[in-house]
Amino acid sequence: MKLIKRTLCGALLFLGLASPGLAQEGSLTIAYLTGPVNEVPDPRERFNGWMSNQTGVTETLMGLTREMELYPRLAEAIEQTAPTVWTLTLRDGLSFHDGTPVTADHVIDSIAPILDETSPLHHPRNASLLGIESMAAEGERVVIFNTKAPDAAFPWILTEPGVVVLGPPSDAFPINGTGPFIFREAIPEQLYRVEANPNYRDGAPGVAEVRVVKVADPAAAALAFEAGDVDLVINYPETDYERIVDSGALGLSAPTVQFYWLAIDATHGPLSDARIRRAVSLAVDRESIVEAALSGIGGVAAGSIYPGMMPWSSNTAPAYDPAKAEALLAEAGAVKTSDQWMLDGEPLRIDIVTYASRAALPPTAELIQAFLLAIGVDARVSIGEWGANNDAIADGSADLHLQAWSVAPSGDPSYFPEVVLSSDGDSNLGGYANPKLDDLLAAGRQTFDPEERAVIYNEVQDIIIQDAPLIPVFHGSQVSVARAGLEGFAVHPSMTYWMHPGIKWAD
Amino acid sequence: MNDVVQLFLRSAIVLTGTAVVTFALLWHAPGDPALSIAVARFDSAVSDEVVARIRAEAGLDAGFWAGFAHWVVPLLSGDFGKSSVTGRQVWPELLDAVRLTVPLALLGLAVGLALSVPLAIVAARRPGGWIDRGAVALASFGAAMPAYWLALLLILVFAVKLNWLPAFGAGSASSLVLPALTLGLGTGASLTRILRSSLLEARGAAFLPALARRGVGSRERAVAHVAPHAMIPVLTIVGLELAFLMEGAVMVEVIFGRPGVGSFLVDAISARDFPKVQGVVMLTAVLFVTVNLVIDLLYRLVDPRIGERHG
Repeated sequence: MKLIKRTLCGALLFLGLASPGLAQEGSLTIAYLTGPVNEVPDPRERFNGWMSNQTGVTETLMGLTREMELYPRLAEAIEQTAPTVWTLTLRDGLSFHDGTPVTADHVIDSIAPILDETSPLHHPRNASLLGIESMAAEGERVVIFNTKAPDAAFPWILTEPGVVVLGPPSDAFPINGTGPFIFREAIPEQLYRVEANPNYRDGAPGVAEVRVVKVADPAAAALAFEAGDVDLVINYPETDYERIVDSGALGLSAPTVQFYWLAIDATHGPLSDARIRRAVSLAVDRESIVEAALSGIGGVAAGSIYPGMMPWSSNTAPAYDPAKAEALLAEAGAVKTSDQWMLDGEPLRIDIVTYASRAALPPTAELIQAFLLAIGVDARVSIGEWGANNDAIADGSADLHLQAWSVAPSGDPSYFPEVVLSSDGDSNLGGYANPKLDDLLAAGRQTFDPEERAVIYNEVQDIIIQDAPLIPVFHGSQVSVARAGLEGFAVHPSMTYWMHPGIKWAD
Repeated sequence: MNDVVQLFLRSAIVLTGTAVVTFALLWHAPGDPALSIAVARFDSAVSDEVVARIRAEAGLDAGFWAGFAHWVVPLLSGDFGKSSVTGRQVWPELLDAVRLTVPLALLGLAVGLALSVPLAIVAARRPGGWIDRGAVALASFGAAMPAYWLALLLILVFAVKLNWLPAFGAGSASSLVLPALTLGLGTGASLTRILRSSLLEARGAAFLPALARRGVGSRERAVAHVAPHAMIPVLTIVGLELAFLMEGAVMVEVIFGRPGVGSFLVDAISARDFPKVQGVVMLTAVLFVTVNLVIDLLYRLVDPRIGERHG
């Protein structure tokens, strides 16, 4: 053992180890699940815009408040001047990190590659969401956007973190943004480092440097936090949250637009009957799932698709009524014999599939299984790959697919229900078709008055509750923990905003 | 000479088999690979047109053998192709990952050897004695301990409690210590058991008493006769451990937030990035085959009878 001890000590001394100590004053080190993919991650490519937006390097034309309401960010105003024409005026006096004034041409030059199929920066998803037919500059500050069809979602899509305004890149400013922080360095899969922009229009930021380090394992991130290696952990393990906050750390948790839900095979098997779908929904105690699978902190039980902070939320309370669930099963023709529901002479069986890349999914699926078993429905769970699960729903070999989606990443309500519930939705794999819902979703897209839109999406949510084409489970919260003394940081429901000039360390 | 040629031929067959099996597994895995690539590139809600375009780009719309040829022919000239997700060349990125993992694996092996060699020698001196039993118990404990748990334990002790070492990252030499210890302790445990058994077996060889009667001294017996016999299985295990360590780094790299082959492979699999996954698998296969080849050749140096027997 002496030899082992000597060898270890020798190795430690050889490597010249010093205590890593606490993060430097004036800097903020953030542990996050993912890291940059290359040395200069262009914000328009893949998901790179998330990190540049989160760290305050780039800004979008429109922004989202913490209440998920739209506000002009780089824009001063946006106005619909014809059904397919949007006139956007830039704020006066904007400049890029290198000092170049921001003009309408820069906006067009930044967005054009996203739309151009031949460009390496082409982003099919954002291009499709934007639906831009043409763009034109009017003077220095006005951009005219022509969309392919009347689209009420257009101003919201301008909040997408990948739809950014960039100036000409240079060696000193490879990502020439407009935000309160300047991009300095990215080490693939390790580090994204930014420094304060002293000339930011709303004043110099309160911290000099922000380092985002990749720590993929939440438990390791928690230990790194305790070791003093990081100041802020985004996605802290829920199970340890109470203890770490009791020990003096700053707990930062808030609901987000992340939505955990069950997609349904509505064309094959028992769930083609709406009464059985509703019975399954009523049999699930979502509050208990949040308590057991998320330690009570990682989510909010969902009654409908939009979380409570969104202007589109119907604030429907989640319903848990096993007796009513059983009554619905009986109404659908099922018969209960010795604690087991039978349908057409066979045991009523529900196959649930999910995937493991989000930690909360497998335990949630098992709890849903337990609630169904408790009322006498034979439920089975299997863990697979997301794409394979989709195939299973499409071909009828599974009945429910538990998954997590961002329900309104740009704040607009149309995105999620259109994609997963409209008859021709790209992700409507269960084959649900409801002409009334289709009409409502089409109307929602083309209704520009926010109050009228709210009425439409309330009606959409009523159909979801009544007909159960999908089953809401919970809205995920982002659980973060910071070193005591960090001021100004708060979880944003969209999860795409972290840094702003007001974040600083207490004196 | 024939024997050596046979060795190379066997290696070529293994590599060909690996290429076919890897490609077949990826090709027939459940789910639509084009959709997985689309999700990794953009989002879950991509249109069917985008998925179709990606299918064509990635060569997934061709048949199995056409797809296999599309990948394997350039590979023969060292072209690993481009990532389906990022569009960048696989080889430079893989090489960067290897550069980060190799020092970790070598240091892990060094830690393993530094622990196992003295421990096995001390243990084998008096089989059944308390040192031997302690060594066996320690080795069993080390082999049974999951790397994930050991890594968190080491972070807790050396980073959280003692604050001697960083808990994660790859920015400094000190950040290499805890991952290398995690790998090395497990490796050391299995090496100790094998080395101890080899030493005991070699020491019990029937020719040793004869050598003693002929007046060969104990030191000479140990160095010239026991050690070469004990070396044969150790060579095999050390070589394979090095290859296993490259693989074992997957979990360790994820826990310690280190980029390398492990994180490269995990990201590639989740994105169904065929060229990247195939690149890692083929590189690992080449590593195993090369290590085996070198070991086989070393056998012949250590014990020339092996080559003669096969010849």
